[in-house]
Amino acid sequence: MSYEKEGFVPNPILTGLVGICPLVVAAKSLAEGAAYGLGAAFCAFLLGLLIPPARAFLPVRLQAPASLALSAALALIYSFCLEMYSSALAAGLWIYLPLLAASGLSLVALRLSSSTSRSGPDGQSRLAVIALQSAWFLVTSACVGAARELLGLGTLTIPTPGPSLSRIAVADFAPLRILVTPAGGFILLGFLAALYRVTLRASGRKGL
Amino acid sequence: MMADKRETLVENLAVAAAVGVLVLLVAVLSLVAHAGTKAQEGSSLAAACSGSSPQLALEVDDPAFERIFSLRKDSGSLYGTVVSLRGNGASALVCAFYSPQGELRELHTLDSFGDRLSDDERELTSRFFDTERVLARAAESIRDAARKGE
Repeated sequence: MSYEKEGFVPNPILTGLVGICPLVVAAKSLAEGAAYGLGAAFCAFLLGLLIPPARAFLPVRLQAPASLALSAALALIYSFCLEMYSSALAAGLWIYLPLLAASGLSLVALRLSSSTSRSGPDGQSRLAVIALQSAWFLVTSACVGAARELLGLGTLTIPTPGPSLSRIAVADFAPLRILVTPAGGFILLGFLAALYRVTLRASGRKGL
Repeated sequence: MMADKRETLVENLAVAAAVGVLVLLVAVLSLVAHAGTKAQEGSSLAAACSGSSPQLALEVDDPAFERIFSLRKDSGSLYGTVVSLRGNGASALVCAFYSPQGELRELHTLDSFGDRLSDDERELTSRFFDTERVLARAAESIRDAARKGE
């Protein structure tokens, strides 16, 4: 890959580690996990859709600032839409909504969209790769949120429209209260990463 | 040389115009969201405190609350606001009602989770949240709104 010709190539360490931190803190209930995952998927998919055609008429020196401006605008558009849908959800996700502009998924979408090659690693189109990753991110975010809420509070929050969210009381006790805290989110993410490694090893593939 | 400069200027203007359109779109959406939130807060306050329909008294620039509403009840005039209380990994929206002197009268949680808290947990939760400072700032804004309303 020729880096001289790339408009904006985010650092993979920033993409992988820093980009995933907001997910761990923000997805502390089913509703917040689903809303955060949907926002990340929305931003990433539209970045993948809009950046490649924009590269055709944007000069190389303006591609990086234009990509970041588009990413920030998409994150703001999603946060306003979520605020109109449910002010409780928007208040719960707070600063993490504008941070969708720099979420792990948005940075992956920016990296793939900035690539000069037309296809992704498995020969799929770049947009198909981004769509698949977005879908996985959405499912992971919702599952992480649901698991943290279920084990940490014994409830499940449904993302209903309006000023308040409805909660289903699943259990009268909460076995692992630490999971609703950010530290608990990181612990859960560690276990998920270990599970991912074990699954990859069992299938004979090499991890990222 | 001159042609290059002209081309660069046209490119810059085209990108500035595109970014301008994006900014316009975001600004329009923010106004729509602002109006929607204002209506939602008004209806939440009306539902929490069965008085007259709330009227916007003051808009404030505070991270925990944005609008102060005035409303009338049988017991006299009240001011209300929807406060976002947050702590270490938790958040809740609360309707807070104050007297014109800034004295806190009622608190209603907008979150159904509040109904599930036991008394001990309520106490812990209220410690958990940095409630006191937020409610004091709201009281100060209510006194401002009351002074402006006189």
